[in-house]
Amino acid sequence: MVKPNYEIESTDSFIAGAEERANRNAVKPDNLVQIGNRVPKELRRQLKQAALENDTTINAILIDALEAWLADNNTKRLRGSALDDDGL
Amino acid sequence: MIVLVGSEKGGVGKSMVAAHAAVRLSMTGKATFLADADPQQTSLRWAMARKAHRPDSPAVESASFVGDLRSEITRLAKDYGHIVIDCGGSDSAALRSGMLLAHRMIIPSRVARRDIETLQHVSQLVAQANAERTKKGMTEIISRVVFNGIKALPSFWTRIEAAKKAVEGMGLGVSKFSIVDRVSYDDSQYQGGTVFDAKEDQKAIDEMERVLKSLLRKEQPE
Repeated sequence: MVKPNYEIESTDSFIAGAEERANRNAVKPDNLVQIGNRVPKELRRQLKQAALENDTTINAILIDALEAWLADNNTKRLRGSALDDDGL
Repeated sequence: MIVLVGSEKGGVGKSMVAAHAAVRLSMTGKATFLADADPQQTSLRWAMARKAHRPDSPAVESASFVGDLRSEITRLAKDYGHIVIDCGGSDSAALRSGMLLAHRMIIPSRVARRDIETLQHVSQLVAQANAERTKKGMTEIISRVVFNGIKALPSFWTRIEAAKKAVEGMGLGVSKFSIVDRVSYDDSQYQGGTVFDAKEDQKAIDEMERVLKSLLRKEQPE
């Protein structure tokens, strides 16, 4: 007697592997905001956070997140004065 | 700190050294500016590429300048913790005005007769700049020749020693560390990088660190 195809498929680990892979690559909350790799990590994180909290990526949220990042970035860098003789 | 990278000779690695100095100084956490006073604008293009392709790397702002740099650099010095000036390979107003401002001067040179000959004039410029600085109550600029593009061959060391003696005879100091001719210095410049960013050639990283630390440390022993 020939075995029906559906029984082979249901027990084949190869097929099961495809399902596992599909599950691994399912859309996660992280994928809600698609931003290129050139955007700094911290800004990406803030934009994702803003999108998650508000469940959207409308312009106002993006602008707020950008402004917050710029302000944060400006304060992080030490200014000092190049007239001081302090190298490495 | 204001660092001037200059010489009278072209093609000795000034822009490469300037880019590495700027990134290494930026790694201290202070805002760093790379002033490109070379008409070729190699440093400006490098910094623009860095901004576009490496936004997470230590930042280096840049702009191009011509002529007397003093008013522009003095203005920038209030906003930046470190400024590196890359001057073109000629005696120019930018080079001379930079000598009147900078704390340190790095003079890259090849170990070749025609390159070393040009250092005689640079030595005279340094002496004149220091005389001007003394008149104004400023400390003297600390300038060092750095041999770049040297061959990692035992036979080359005698050439370096001879070149060092010749340069010191002109009245210029020579860095005790040299820069070996490595492809990683060139390769790492892609998209505004340096060997400090690429982190692939540890020998180059250690070498550049030694060179820059000896030239740009806060207190010079002599």
